[in-house]
Amino acid sequence: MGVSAIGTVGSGKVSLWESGHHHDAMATRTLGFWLYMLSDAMIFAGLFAAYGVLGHHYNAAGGPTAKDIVRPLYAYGETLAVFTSVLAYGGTMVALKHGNRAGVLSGLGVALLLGAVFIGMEVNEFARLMSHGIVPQRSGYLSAFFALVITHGIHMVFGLLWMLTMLFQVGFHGFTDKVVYRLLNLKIFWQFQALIWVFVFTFVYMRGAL
Amino acid sequence: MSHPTPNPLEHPEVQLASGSAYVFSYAISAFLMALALAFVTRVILVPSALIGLAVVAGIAVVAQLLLLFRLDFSETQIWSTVSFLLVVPLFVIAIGLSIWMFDSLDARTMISGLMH
Repeated sequence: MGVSAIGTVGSGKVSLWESGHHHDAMATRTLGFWLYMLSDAMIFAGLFAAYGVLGHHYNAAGGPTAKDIVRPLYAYGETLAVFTSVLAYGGTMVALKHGNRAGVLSGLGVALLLGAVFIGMEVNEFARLMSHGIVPQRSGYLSAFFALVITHGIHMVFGLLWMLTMLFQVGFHGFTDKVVYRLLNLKIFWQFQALIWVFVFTFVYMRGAL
Repeated sequence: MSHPTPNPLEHPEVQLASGSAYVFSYAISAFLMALALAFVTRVILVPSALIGLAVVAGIAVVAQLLLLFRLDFSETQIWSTVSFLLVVPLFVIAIGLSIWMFDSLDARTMISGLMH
């Protein structure tokens, strides 16, 4: 943005942008990523809409319904794993604020470990369901259920890969501009997973158990 | 959007981090989800468990938006807050209208006879 442009609008000259204006690249990048996450959330809106529509008993096609497949207490365990991982990432951000590299690395490590616990629990749950013949292609309801829950799970896996990458970047490069804004974007991404999980837990698992 | 800082750690978005807010958000969210579990398992009896679930989910989401995401109308966060508020109606339309349209589909089409 180190240039200026003078354009002609109507009869007068107007300045379209000013030279010397300091552009906050970090804020622009985090806002851009935030908008990306809002559009990503629209994917979940579509999946929740499909789940709401296909939640009617006749979409189970005579197969298992939500009540038959959810285990409320187990789902609460998954909830604690997600929330605690997000809390650990919060610790990472507090350490970053104070320029504490060891704190950032250990926070990332704990968040990564707890995120992996969540994925392990989810894979274990899917294995249990599939061993009973409860698979996505069984009914419209199960297609919607697995599509929604697996989409969230895939997001979690990508978050874990991102954390692994940041462990190396913080370790090797320290707190450069790029590393810091990537940590900020990962914070947004990881916290979003907790937010989406609130809806998955209450409207899929808890409502399903009613 | 106008915070040029030579040291990235001094950036306002980095300085937003708050240990107490994160712990508070965690405690509230974990408690509310436990409450949802208690509604469903009938440990706590409420007139309508579904409404109870919607209420606890709503409070948990607001708590996370305020304490985790730190959304507010400060100079640092206003763009994020406003963009989020503008997306909320899209969620409501996408989910609400889809469910409303299809909720009584079987009663309003010939599919009805096939379903029962």
